[in-house]
Amino acid sequence: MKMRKLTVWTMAACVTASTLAAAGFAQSGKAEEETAHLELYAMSFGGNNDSLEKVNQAVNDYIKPLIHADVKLNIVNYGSYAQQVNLMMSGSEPVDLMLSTGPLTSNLAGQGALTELDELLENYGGDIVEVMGEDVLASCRYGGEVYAVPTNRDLARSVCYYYRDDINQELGLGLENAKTLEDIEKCFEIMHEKDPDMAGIAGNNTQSLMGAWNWDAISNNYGVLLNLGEELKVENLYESEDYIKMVKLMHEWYQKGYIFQEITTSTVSNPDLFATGKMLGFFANGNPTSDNSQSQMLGGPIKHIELVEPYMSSTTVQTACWTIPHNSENPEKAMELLNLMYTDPVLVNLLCYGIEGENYVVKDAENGIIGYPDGQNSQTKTYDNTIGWTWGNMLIGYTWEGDDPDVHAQMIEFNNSAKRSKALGFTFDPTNVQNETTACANVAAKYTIGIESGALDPDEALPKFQEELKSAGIDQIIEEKQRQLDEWAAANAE
Amino acid sequence: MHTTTHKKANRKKMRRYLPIYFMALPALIYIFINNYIPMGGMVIAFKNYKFNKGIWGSDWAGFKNFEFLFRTKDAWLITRNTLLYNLAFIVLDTVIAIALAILLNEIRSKRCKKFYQTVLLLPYLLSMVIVSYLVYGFLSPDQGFVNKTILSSLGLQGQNWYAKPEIWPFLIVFVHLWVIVGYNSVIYLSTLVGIDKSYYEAADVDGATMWQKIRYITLPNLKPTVITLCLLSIGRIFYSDFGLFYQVPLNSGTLYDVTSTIDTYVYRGLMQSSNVSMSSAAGVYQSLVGFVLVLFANWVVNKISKENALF
Repeated sequence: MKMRKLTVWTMAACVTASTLAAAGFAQSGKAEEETAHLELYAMSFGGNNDSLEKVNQAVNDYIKPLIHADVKLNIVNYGSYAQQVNLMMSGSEPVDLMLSTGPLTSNLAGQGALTELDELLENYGGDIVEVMGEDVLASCRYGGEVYAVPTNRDLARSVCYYYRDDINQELGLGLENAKTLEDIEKCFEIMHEKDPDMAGIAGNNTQSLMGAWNWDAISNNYGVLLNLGEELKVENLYESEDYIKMVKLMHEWYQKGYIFQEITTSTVSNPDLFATGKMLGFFANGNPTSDNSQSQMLGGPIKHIELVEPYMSSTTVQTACWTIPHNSENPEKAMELLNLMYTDPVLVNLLCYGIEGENYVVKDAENGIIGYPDGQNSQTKTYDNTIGWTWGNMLIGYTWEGDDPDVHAQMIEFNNSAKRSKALGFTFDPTNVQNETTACANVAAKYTIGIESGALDPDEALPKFQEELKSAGIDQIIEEKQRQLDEWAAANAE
Repeated sequence: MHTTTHKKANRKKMRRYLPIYFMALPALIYIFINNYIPMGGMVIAFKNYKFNKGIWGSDWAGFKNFEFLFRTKDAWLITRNTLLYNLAFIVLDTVIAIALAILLNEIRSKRCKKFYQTVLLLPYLLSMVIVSYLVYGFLSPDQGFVNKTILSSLGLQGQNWYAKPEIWPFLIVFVHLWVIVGYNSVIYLSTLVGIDKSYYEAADVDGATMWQKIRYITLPNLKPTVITLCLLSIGRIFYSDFGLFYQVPLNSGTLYDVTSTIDTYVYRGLMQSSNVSMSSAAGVYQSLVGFVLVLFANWVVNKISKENALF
């Protein structure tokens, strides 16, 4: 008996000793390096990203001497990004820098998941303020505090129809002369006759086909400013003439087979859909580089038809922005890294385009133009270079082959000349109508994909949708939005 | 005096059973950690949860988080769906599985019996994601077997099945049965095999028909198994097979009215609106209604056959 007791105690002592030793090791290791570790989350739209680890290594080699921190780049697919983020926030895993999108940002900020950035910006991110300007940063204020920093890119957006020009020419559709939806419809007619299996509009059920059209969504579409925010009058989008006209057209197109028939059940992303060769085009936002970036992403020559003129609103500014979650262990370091992402061309080029010689080569050193190395193209590339617009300030980096050499200047001009919503700089705080907003979101989840992709008959589905929104409390949201907007306008007028 | 002997007897009993309690301890601790401690999380439903303040630091919100459930028909819809589907499952699972088990039991050839049993069990081993794509293979509006082969050969117009809520209650039940029935029938079959053969021999001597043998020997012998399995399902009547209700309809929005159960609703709520408090509110609602239902079911069983009640 005594013997056994002794054994137990010895074992316990051994276990304790080894644990202590391990802890001691960990600590001494830390003291030597003093390198902070950052976890960064960004999104991609699919495609091969095998070089990510190498690029990550190169990034660390570069930033370690500069800010004494290394970073792990976590790239999550766009389709599951919001879900992933919600899980990370609920699970309290450390996340130090996180790319966010409009509604997600306001939601997270409202639930205290994000760090307030004003002070950090002042102490560690002064360059960011200089690059972006105070007025643009103001669009990311929630309840008076800055919670996010928009990436420097197309802060305005147009809405375009993009199409594969090779297919257009092969079938002789004449899309190059089309200007309006009516023109496009005529081209679809020819397309359908020549190749009934071809879909004019591709998409999937993770995102509405139409997205934003010619309205300022004020963060969530429940109560919008019509006509690109010409007036500060909040209205019910789903009862507006523009919306009804649009969904009726989509239904007509769907029935005629112009729209991808599986759109409400498919989760396949555009690059994969276009790989089938049976997709002609899709709706998306546009800017001076979109033709080129879409061609990169979809692996074929892409051209566009502008359907809604470029405009800027708080929502378009918030489309992509960087946040520092509340559970970041190193918010100061995170801000330092972010500052580099807005000011250091070497880092920006690494993040946007990968490693020189492996993922790209300089084609024209004078103008800073780069392209694929020999033997690589958008299909065989191993680094996702289509998400440059999310990496801080891509406008200080290289220009991709095929874009105008002065495309960065064009982008700045595009932003400056875009029509501005009257509510630019206003952000809606949904706290008071949280229940209504969630109820409306549940209703919208039921209908929007079906109605806006044309799969549902709007004559039947739309009245039901409108009625359910009413009982979910969309009118209260509109009222609250109008109240906050009026207050904001009054404060701004002073 | 009387009470002390009683106490003594109790203590004696206690000491006798102590080893058994001790053996149960790991399982009890496990249940406590896994099932009881997380109940504390229910408090989130009554809080205005902030990530940075944590669960206990967040402000109280009363019943405000429950409002969104009752603002629309959602609460009613998901309760109705969960309940009705589960009721249908309980009834049909039992009836069809027993019928299959009896049929299997009558097969003389051993090899055939094994073969049918395996074929019936196979769907149970498939992941719901695979099942959902099998269903999709039939129902895909563009390439599906139903639209492309059956309907078009009859000269009929194809349908977008994923936008037709009216067919889905049947489809869901059908898919569920296809998946589960083989497994249940194996359980019943094992009971059938255990029934004393001499009953049947005696019945044969008395000239009983096949139907009479089933009616008066097989079914009464199955009764305890049926009641146990039913009770187990009733205890879980407020849960739903997530894969069946989320994956198989491919999360198609048009079908939410007939495919949303409490589980999928809570999941979607958290994923889409990312509001933790409201999602837990829905979770608390699920637990509460479920609790009441189990009490009710047990009360009913108590009335019918007392020895089979859960408590």
